Amino acid sequence: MVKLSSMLTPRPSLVVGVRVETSNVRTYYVKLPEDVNLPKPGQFDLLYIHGVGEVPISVSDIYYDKRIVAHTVRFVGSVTKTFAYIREGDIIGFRGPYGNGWPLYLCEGKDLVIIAGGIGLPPLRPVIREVARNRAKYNKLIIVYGARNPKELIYRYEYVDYESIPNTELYLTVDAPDETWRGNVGVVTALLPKINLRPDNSIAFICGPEIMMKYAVKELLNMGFKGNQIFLSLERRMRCGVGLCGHCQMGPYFICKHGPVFPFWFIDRYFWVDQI
Amino acid sequence: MSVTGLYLGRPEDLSKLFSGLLHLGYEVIGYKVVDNVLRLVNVRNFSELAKDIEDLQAPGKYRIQRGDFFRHGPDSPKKFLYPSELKLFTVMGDWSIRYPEVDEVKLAFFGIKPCDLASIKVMDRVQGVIGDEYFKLLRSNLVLIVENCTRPASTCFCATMGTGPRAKNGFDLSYTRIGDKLVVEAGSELGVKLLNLMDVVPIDNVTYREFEDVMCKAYMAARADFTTDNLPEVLELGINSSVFTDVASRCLGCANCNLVCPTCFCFDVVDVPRLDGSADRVRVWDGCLNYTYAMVAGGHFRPDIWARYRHFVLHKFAYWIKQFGVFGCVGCGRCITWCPVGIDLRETVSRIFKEVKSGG
Amino acid sequence: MRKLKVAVYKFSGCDGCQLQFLNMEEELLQLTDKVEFTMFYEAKRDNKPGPYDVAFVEGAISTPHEVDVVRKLREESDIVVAIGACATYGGIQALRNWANVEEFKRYVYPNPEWIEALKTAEPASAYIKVDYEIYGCPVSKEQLLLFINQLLRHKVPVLPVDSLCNECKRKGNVCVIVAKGTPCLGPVTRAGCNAICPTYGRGCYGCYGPMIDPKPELLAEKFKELNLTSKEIALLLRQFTNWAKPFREVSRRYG
Repeated sequence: MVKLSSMLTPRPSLVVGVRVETSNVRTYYVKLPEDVNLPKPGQFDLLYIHGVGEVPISVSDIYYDKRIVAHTVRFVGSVTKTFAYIREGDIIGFRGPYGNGWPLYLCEGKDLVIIAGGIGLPPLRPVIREVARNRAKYNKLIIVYGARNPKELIYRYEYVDYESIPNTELYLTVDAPDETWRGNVGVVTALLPKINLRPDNSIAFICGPEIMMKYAVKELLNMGFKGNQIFLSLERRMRCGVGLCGHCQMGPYFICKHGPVFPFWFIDRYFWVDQI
Repeated sequence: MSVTGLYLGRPEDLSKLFSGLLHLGYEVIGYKVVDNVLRLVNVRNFSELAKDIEDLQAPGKYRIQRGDFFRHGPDSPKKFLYPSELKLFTVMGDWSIRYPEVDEVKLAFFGIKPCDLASIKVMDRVQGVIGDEYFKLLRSNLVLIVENCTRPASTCFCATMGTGPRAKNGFDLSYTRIGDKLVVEAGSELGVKLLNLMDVVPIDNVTYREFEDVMCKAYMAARADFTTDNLPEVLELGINSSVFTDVASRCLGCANCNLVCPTCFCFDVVDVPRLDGSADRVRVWDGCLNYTYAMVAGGHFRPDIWARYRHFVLHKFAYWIKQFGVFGCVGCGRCITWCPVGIDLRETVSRIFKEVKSGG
Repeated sequence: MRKLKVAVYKFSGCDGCQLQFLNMEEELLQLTDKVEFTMFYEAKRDNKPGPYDVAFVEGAISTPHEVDVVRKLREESDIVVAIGACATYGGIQALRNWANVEEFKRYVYPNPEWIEALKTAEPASAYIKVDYEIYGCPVSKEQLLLFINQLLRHKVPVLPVDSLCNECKRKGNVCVIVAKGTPCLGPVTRAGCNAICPTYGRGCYGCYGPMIDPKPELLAEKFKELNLTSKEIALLLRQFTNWAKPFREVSRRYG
């Protein structure tokens, strides 16, 4: 007899904190098992709820010394909805980190433009943290973030911190304002032309709904950005995280192992193809 | 010693080969007629193997009748090497993990055709370094006895895909039946050992010419209406072709093509929670023609059937090359035969091929 | 953890689906540790009124009285689950929807005026909001158990929605359409039964109802190639889930 093992095995890990972000978004702080590598910004983990299922969730914060990694989850699917029952002190299954992460090394000495929509901000938050930590390495930081309405803006409590990072601009917009909203109204991409971007010396990181990313890329290309200055984090159905289950293909790319972050010029041939 | 590497024996010698494999401790997997279909099953006696049978294959139709040569049925080696359902592990209530234990079996495929040999080589590439453990476990002890295909079916196009009708390498032993002669070739050290169990002599010139002639004819018969020259690039140029929508307008989206394909590897993981607090995670075959395949919570990347069908075609003939360095299609024709509505993959590819080449 | 309060109730149907709870046998004992069958006429004498956490309802809604009861059950239950072909699609009761119910009444009953029947037999969802549906004729006890296990773990229950062919081929069956020319509804039917009928060489009867994104009109074309008459095609689609819209529409087209 031979005992099989599996690279899809979840590691029991402690949830050390839960933070409510919006009505259907919460952040889960997970203490990593000792022999697991700390993630890089832009990577993702697979979180498993016992007997319920496993979902890919991007890393939304990294506490390097405490080995705690944050995962911001929106309750939309049958597994993610169960996250609403996960509390501090619970155990969840963890495996990761997977994927490649944002190429921060390319941004040194350049303006970094972060464009996010909805639940697309969490994978970019570690980038903001990195810039704050090593401020001198990078030039101007521009954060453009939009959500459907003010209540769906994630991490509102720390926008002041973003703005207090030297040489940083934060632009917020919502599609549907409420009576409290004093800021921009409209989609993220409509905001872009109003911002003074320097296509000659910038790198843009984008994450959000696919349709929003398409418009954002178009806008940036119009402004004079080149394909190698734009990076996207893509989403697909995923089961394995290591390029074996097949689900996450976009053209020949496995989003899980070749991505989730892609330089735009790598994928431009497939990006515009309907239902690729 | 034969300079061509080919030896001559008689079809009866195959029973010696069969016994030899059993003697070496192999479980022999061969074709047997079960309920009027050629099935790939564990065979204990040589006499169980299908004989004097021919399979009739056409788009959406499969029958058998008396005859002297058969190709295959719906089963491929994938059925054994990459099973349709495999429990990965059980997560116990206390989070300890129980992995399944499997018997350490040594499998020998007996009489599979070159297309199926090729499919195993494709799986080797796909599973690669990090791939499926169960596959690798079986693969490490696998013996491949291949029968060269002297009479390809009407749905076959191995010659186009470069995988047949004669097996070139990667087998332990290959044989070709020509009338009452058997042409045998060893492809590995074990193959030489097995060859010695048979009563063979170096091939003579007359039989060699016959062999050449039979294989050439088979080669001509196993061609599709397109070539693989620049095929990935050509198909990707046709990515927006209306051929996909046109063909897919007949597609049921049932995923039978995925399920009979000897190389399709996509899987889903199913969670089975139990009342005692434990839960299984089970790997099951999935397929890109299934509606849910590209669905995520709150969205869908390929809601339309044509997009799912296009992914199937492009993956096999274009993306696979980029991902794994080989085509994902071995030209066995199973997806054509076993499509309930008989959609012909060759037709789709050749229509796009022509459309793109003519600048359409 | 507090036990889940469950009601199991039957409308026009054969009891076969609720019987599947009892068919669980061994698991049933474990199940009762976590689930309290508060109302279950088929299984016990001591039935209590609502509210319930979950109500499983079997059978089609075919009388005005049943409409009242199902509405009341809805009010009393957090979650309503329709189980079986009748509760999800009207089942074989819905076969009468294809004809005039008044004529049926006159033909069957000596005093047809005593019979109070709605014009059509309908699934529970025609009258109330149904949270989940478990399909089949009858439902499979494995699916029933999986469903409850998912609920107990706070998971939004999910059952397969793709074609039956997936289960059939995973099981190692040979396609009966291709190998025998036997008409089979598998390619348009939702998986879940573990392909019972094709396993025994018969075509699928479609009792789990249409799969997600089904193409019965294309399968009907195939049946024509198999030399089935229009009438035969219409009747094939007019079985246990005849009232499911995709099957109903194509069946109607063929007579």
